Amino acid sequence: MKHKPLLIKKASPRRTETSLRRRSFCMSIVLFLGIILSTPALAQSLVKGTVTDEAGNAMPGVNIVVKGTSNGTTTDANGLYNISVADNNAVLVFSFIGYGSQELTVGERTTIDLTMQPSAEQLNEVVVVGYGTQKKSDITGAMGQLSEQAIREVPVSNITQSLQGRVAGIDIQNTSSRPGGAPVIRIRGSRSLGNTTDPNNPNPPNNDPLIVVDGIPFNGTINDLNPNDIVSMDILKDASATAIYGSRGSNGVILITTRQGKKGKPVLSYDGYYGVASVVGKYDLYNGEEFDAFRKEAVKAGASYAPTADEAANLTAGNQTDWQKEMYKKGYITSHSIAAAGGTDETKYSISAGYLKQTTVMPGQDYARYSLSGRVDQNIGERVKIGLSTQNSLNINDGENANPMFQLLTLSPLYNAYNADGSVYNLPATGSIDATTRNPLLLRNGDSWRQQRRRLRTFNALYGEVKIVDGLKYRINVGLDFSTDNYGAYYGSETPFQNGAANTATVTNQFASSYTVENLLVYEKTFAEKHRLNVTALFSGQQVETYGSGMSAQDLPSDYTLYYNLGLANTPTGLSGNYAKSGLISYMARANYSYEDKYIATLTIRRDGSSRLAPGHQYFNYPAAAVAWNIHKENFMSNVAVVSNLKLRFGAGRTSNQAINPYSSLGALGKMPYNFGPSAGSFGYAVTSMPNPDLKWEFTTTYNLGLDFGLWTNRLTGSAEFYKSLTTDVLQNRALPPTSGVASVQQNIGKVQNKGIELTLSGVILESKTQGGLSWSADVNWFLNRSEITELGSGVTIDATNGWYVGQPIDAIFDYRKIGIWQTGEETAATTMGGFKPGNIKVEDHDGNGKIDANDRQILGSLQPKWQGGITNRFGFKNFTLDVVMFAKVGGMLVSTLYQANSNSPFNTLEGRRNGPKVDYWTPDNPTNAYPRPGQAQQPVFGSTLGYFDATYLKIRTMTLGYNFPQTWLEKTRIGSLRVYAQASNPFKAFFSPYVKEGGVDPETTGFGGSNAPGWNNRVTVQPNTPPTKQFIVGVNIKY
Amino acid sequence: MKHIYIFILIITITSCSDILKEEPRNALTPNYYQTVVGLNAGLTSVYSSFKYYYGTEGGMNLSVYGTDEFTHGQQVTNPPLNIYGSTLNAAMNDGKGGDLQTPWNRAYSAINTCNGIIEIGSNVQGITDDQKKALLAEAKYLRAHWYFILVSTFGGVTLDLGSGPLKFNTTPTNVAHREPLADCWAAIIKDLEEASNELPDRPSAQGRVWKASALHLLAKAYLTRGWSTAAQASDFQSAFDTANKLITNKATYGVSLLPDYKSVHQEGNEYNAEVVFQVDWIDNNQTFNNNNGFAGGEDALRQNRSNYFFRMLYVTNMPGMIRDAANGRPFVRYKPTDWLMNTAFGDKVNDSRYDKSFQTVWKCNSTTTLNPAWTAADVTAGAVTQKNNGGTLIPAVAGQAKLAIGDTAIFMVPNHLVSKFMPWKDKKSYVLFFPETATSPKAYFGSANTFTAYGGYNVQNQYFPSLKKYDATQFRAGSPAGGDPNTTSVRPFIVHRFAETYLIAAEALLKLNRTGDAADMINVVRTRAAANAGAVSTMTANTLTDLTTNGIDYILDERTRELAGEQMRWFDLVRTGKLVERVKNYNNRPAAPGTINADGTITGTAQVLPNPADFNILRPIPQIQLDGAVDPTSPGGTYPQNPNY
Repeated sequence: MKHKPLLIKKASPRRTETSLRRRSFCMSIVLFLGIILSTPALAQSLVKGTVTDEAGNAMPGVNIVVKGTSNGTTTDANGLYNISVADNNAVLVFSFIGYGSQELTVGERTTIDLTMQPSAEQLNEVVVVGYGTQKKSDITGAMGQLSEQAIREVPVSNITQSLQGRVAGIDIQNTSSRPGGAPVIRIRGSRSLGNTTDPNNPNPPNNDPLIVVDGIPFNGTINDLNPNDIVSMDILKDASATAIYGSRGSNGVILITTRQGKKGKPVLSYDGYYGVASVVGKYDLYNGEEFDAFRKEAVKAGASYAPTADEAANLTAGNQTDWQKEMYKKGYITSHSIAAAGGTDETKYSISAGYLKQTTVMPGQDYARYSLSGRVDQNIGERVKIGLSTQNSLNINDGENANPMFQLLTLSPLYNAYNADGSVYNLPATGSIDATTRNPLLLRNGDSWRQQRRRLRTFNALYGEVKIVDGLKYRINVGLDFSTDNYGAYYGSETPFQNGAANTATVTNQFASSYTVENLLVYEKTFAEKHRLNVTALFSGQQVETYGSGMSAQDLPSDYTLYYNLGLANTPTGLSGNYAKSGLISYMARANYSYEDKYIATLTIRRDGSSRLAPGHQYFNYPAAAVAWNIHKENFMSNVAVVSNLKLRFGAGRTSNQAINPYSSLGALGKMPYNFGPSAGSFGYAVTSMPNPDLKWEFTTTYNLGLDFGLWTNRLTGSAEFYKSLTTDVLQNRALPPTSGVASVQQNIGKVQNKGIELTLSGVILESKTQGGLSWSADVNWFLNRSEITELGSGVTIDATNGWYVGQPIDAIFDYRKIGIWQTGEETAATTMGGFKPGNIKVEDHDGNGKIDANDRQILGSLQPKWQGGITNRFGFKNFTLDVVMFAKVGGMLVSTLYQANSNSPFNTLEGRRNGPKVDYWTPDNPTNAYPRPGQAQQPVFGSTLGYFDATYLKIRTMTLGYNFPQTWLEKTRIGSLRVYAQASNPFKAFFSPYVKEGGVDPETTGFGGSNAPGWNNRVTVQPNTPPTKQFIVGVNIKY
Repeated sequence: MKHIYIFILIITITSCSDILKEEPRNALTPNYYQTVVGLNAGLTSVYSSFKYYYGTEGGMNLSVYGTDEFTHGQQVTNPPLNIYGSTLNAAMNDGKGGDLQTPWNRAYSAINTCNGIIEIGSNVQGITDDQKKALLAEAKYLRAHWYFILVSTFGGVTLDLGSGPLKFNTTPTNVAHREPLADCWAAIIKDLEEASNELPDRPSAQGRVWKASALHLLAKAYLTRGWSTAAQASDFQSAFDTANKLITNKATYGVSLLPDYKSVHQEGNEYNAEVVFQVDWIDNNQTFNNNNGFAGGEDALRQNRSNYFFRMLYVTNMPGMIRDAANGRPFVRYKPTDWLMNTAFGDKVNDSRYDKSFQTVWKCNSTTTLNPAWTAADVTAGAVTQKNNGGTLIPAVAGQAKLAIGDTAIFMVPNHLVSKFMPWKDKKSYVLFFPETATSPKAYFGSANTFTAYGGYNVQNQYFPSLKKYDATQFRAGSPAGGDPNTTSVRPFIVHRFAETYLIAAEALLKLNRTGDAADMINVVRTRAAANAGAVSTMTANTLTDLTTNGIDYILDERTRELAGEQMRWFDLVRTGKLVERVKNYNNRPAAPGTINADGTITGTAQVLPNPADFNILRPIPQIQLDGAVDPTSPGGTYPQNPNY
């Protein structure tokens, strides 16, 4: 029990109200553990021994169970074990991953030593596939996996983040640097041209994969799941694996499995950590003197911005304000999770509770999740089995949209942040053109603003299974999912949000419910010991209903009522609502056939009917086929001892993605307010989208060739995948020319192709020769994807409005190419080119007609990296472990809205009006080619060209040093295992990043839009948002 | 086991039937136009669409400056449509088309809705045929109004949105054609002829169009076509007949000239008898009170900001002045040309319209801004202070602040008072600006020897008499006492007014060689404009002579005096073929000798100032259209751009 004080101390860093609550939570855990520990042991007779591997080395961690009981133990660091058995007839089962399990009857012996034999049949492991499980050796499709161990290596608040850099073919891009933001997941690239986000579209067409939790499709944010409840993620990548999900399969499928009770004695576990977060780096801005010089240059060019009285005084006195330093604070992250699991032959159960809280470096931004989950599996007699899995959570997200970065980065460093008495100076820009700008430090006043989202989610999966006859099984899955999402925002007048204007408040409520019913028939039989057949048939239906309402108001009489009673407001400003209901009916059949475990074939067919399509166009079919050849089982391979596994796979199939909103085929009217005369306000309704009864899904046909291998009794394993997919009838939420009368329409036009290579390697690089010696293993993944639009329809090759170009990746950048700055002495050429002056941005005359015009825009690159990869290194020495997770992206471009001059987000417009990123700007005395002359206008012409950078980077994701307490120490307690660890997460700025070299903080994307490049309003960009943080975490894992 | 099978059966049956049926409950579909309320709601949305064009920066940049009337003020925005250079086609800056998009993007959604109303709405049940006809006639007027703007700006445009000419679009496509100019005018005139027959004699409700609106626009459409390459022989006669029908039957249609020019645009006198069509913002119940000066997104694009654009920079380096509601938010966009100030308004004594259109005096509203006390030296030099423009001069007293609240702080001296005020130039408590004598670029308007800098910010064009037709001082929730200067206007924007009907008739008569009748028409307007009863004869005596001598130029001069800043000038110049000549002569000054610095010094090399060329009588089609559309029938397969862009 000596760890007890440690827990309390680490978990309670500050005497705040929340930490007290956290403390009492920890206390109760410790109390609970204490009760468990005091349970007396039962023992009849004792058997002990040593377990060694085939080389004679002691094997720690081998599982030993008395067959038919829940009585079990594991070997300690020296391979020693002892276990009590009831009588001589007891049978001990020894098992260890990668080794064949052995059963020995105790008999008269009291000492049983054993040598474990490595198993070439390691691949008998079972993996989760859609609508069931399969032996790994039977898999014919392309899959990726993240084991429980790998998930635990990177503590995350959102489970999908743990995929970043871990599984080949999966690209994770952040959409927020704040906790609670959901990353964008792309499996093998993008194929739909639909906008990823559309502010008018709550459920936009997209490229997101389907997520399935415990067999039931999961809608909405994955944040609702507690990562500690998840024991594995299986990713289906190719069509032969995803075709069973038909119209939802083409973006890949992520199968999430939650914790399940195992037969054996009850195990109680606690996982917790606490960490401190601070900014990875500050944005590089002008200091006071540099800003003054910069502004003077702008004035020379014609701007008229004079220093305010404060600025003049501070400049003389040599004072300045580092706004970022004043604002950023230390954040923290903490997580506690407690779980109990166990089971008998008849009943298995698992329950858990979790708490997570994460704050940022900004006031008013934090994220908390309370979760409760459970799972029960019960056998009723010989033939019937039922079970329930339930995941419940309450998420509270504060300040998710609160972004004071504009003030923080653009307020003059010569302004005063505080009054003489130390209080916050509300109007630091007094005397300037932006005199009403409020001090960002006012955000610390939590009574003047609030922004909070509370989401309650309950996700339940119920199943019943009946063995009808031998080999034939009926199963029903029923999923019930309900969530409410309640959002409120209030911005007082004296805040940087309103800058003195009337206060505003908004409340929105969203409800979503869905049910899924799946009827499955599974037939499994082996004929003549050679032919193995598994047939699955499915009939399912799903319906999703969402309903939301919102209201907003301004000019509330007081700040402290926040958004809790909009009825108090003097001016109601808006009401809104939304409703959508959609259904899906599906039939599916799948057959797996295996001949002598050598030759395997899978055939699937699915038929989906959807309410989102117009009647008569609702049903489509999705076939797929795949074959695999276990070469290492051939006789001719029996002499090749080094090869323990060799499998060749090939598959092809067709899938879709459900990138159509409900009611899209019907057309719609939009509201426009108008007044006839002084008082008759009324709403008009204009056509905003046209009916399109021909709307259908887009179809993706994928071919996948894969090779799995294992060498030296699977000390080195790996796989290589080659794929090509062709998406046709691409759904385009396509912007139309204005002459059409509507802004955009959803149509099935065009083709997109994706192809790529994925390599995965796992190996034990260094195996310790002696007990507790140095060991080193590593997982490596490397992949690339090449997406290309091959057709846009109607002979269009360039669709600049949407940013789509035939022959280019989907996220191509089409703009002028900046080749420098017009210099003194080039006046004549500059004027001829288009009336430019020295100090203007000089762009390439691409068509060579001697004039800069729209035809000079060209493809500059795309977001698509040349390749990506990740390495997880695991070192072991004595009881210490060291894990290092790294990932890299090479090539591709990023769009930085910080550096892109855009008068709508004027960070780097070089107007002279505001501070901004420190850049090498042109002056008559500094003939640089980097950035234009300050003070030319609200935005330099071609300002968008300043924001394009090479996106290459390498990042160390986590470094974790862990210590496993030796079993010998723990023997005196009832603790089964105890691990403590310290972890540095995101400890360094990105390496090899040209963007970081320029002064950017982090090359990872932070949000959608904000770019003034054509077509880029809805794509991921690097924005000057809350800076990313580095975290230092200490944690503990205990099992009883 | 039996019950299990029953369970399976139940699940299988129940999950099937209704799941695929779609019932939208969160939005309206186009079928709504088949109802009476739907038809009205459709029309309302089309009325609303004009809020994006009138009184907005996009619409005003296209019609107010780049003319002989106004040039750009100091705080020019991109793209500079005042300058006829290569940057005119604004695509290079935002990839879309800048201000050019304002009519282009807004017109077609409104036109499509009109098409839908006219097509689907003819099936509407529950009203009489006459009522239905009147409602559909409103749609025809509104559709023609948008096409009038488009054709006047871009030439021949698209009539077939996808499902056939003037049809409701149900087959979205990126294929689009441009129709010949003649076809476009024919469509406009057909719509307006029908509308002028089918609309009621008086508006069915306040704010809606009626017969007068259609007759006015029809007259203008005939007139414009008459000048164009698509002219028909009868056009000028039709223009006159139509305008004259409105003039003759003005009592029937409830329109008349107001006795005093000042009251036409006066705040509080909205919906007066002279207004033939206006776009509305007024709203007392605050439901749609979209006048927050810092609004973003759609709201910002449909605000009436006409009260911002014409203001000079009275808040920078000006003694005694801070931004307030009475003087408005200075956007410093449109500066009157010296031609407008000195030539067109050469007579500011008999013609009251200069004083009634322009603010030339700013009264001190802050005693703490640049307001030092008189020194003994000032007093010795003979300094005087003045309570208001033209009032008694009081000798300065040493130690006393120069300005008190309400004192004149800035005065833009008109040309006929120059000799009176020049001696006091440096001895006053307030700032005097003179029209002709200044050589400093800070002069309120340049003489023939000064110049116009363009491109980016410049210190020029900061100070000038400011058009006050759009003054608006309404209260906004949460604003400080006395009003919030940043509030946008919620006054209606007058689009057609009856005074212009006389000038349309006059122009048609001139083209019909009935100069005497034309002069009579013009004199109706000039009589009303006379400063007093005694000035009437001066105002009218020479009209026929001037008209005979100067022809259309005289009508253009008269139009600018009557209609300055009312979003018509660019069209007037293009219609009459005078754009190139007049902009060259009256807007652009000779090339600037270099960069004008904040202190007034000039450095750097000379600028080349582009003048309009003949092709500039059409605006470039916005890049967003060229990027988004294909036209297989045009060479190159792209949507045809206007020549030389």
